Amino acid sequence: MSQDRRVESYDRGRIEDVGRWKDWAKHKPGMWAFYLHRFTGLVLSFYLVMHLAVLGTGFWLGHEEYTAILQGLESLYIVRVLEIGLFAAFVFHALNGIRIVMFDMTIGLDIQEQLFYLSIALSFAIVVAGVPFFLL
Amino acid sequence: MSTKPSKTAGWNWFLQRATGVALVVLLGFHFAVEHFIVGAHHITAENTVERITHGLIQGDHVLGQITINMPAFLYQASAILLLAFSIFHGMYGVYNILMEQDALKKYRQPLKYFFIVFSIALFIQGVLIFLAFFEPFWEIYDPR
Amino acid sequence: MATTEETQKPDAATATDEETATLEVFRYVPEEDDEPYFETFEIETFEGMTVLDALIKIRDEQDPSLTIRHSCRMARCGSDAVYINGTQRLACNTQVREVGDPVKVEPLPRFDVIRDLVVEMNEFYDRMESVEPWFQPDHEPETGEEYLQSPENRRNIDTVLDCIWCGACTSSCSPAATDSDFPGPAALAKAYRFYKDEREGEETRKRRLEMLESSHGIYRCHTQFNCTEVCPKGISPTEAIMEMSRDAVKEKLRFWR
Repeated sequence: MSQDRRVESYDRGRIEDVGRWKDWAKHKPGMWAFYLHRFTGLVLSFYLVMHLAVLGTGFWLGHEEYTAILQGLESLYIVRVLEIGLFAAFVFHALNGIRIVMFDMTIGLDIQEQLFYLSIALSFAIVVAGVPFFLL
Repeated sequence: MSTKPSKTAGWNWFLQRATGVALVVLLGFHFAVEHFIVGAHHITAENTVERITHGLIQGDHVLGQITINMPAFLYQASAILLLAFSIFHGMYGVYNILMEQDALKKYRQPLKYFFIVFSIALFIQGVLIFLAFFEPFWEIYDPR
Repeated sequence: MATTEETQKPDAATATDEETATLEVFRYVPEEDDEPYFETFEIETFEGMTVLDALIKIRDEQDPSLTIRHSCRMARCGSDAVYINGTQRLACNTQVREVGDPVKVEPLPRFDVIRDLVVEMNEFYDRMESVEPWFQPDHEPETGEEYLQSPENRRNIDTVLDCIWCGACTSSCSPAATDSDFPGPAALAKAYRFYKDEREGEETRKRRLEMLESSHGIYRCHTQFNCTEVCPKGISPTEAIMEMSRDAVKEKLRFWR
């Protein structure tokens, strides 16, 4: 309705183009939680698709090929390290997810920053404790 | 501004939360079994069959020799629920990220159908993987 | 050594009362410039000087063409929200000496720029109007005279009533930036103000909730808390949105109970 009221103006683009990444150092904890949650979510979704594609060899090719492909992948050191990354993504996404579900039940909205730091600290501790399981 | 009321948006939002909470447990269990007890590099088709068909989790990894014999149906249920919930949670999450972008406004309807079809395809692939290590089925059907 | 001491002394003397500040101001005049640019101004500051004071001083003494929207100068009208050093703030509510040097002043991000620091707000007002921010009672009051609200009910909306429509939160919100169908935090906090009002009655309350429940409505909030951080009036739109989405889902699950 206000289209006719509109005057000539300069489109500076969305906030993401103008100020977000340029001022990343000024981002508040809530925004970092959002970025990390979205990033880890995309990583996990991508992994889910890849995971089902790789394990699909068990059906489409057979059991021997399934074992050979898994052992072959696991013999690569980089795969083991990436698995730690996957585990870290899951742990953070889970803990921050609990934080978000708490907000949805309107619990802890005023201590959201502390809850974010707590989820970071807990995920760090859990991932460090889990490292030997992936590398040994 | 188009804020068309939607009956499904609230349900999907709720399901996204519910599956998320369930996945914390299910995916945590999955990680514990495959990485912490068995160890990813010890996984073979044989012990996958043991787990899926008999619910027998055996591992000799960092924690030492561990054998857990859980009811087979419980392990199978956890596997299928993990499959269904992770596909819904993951695909609905990615779908929502795309729905939020004004740049993709024109493709909202095609994207919706793509994600529905893609999710069903992923679920079928997952069920086939499950059946591949489920002995009663595998004895009837073997691709070779 | 002697020379450095000499140069340091006058600095220390001016620091007590007459400090200077550097302002980097976003400039864009559509008739003259193809692209926006930043112009640097040096001004003397005084204790308690706000960014708006500084901009007015620049306009008075250095460049009369500098354009900024302002009227009350006391954080009541909400017309001078700008982007200062990476945060959406009211220029009249921000101390020059507290935001650091240089002070970088830009118009609100995501909004179109009309001239210098003045942005096109119609899109924001469209978002505000999309939640029908006006009183819609179901029925006439029984006394036939006044619509009475209980003090307890009024307390629920005490904070959200303070909204001055400055647009800072909607400018800071990333879902509002990428999704033009999302009403944004200001509009949803305004919707909450009417949703919570007992005088409107049950029917209108349900209708308001249904209206907000679109796939681009309340469920697009990702609890980034950007709106809560930048609001100059201390409103938490995140809290309002979360309470409404919680109620909406409770409404759906009602048949279980």
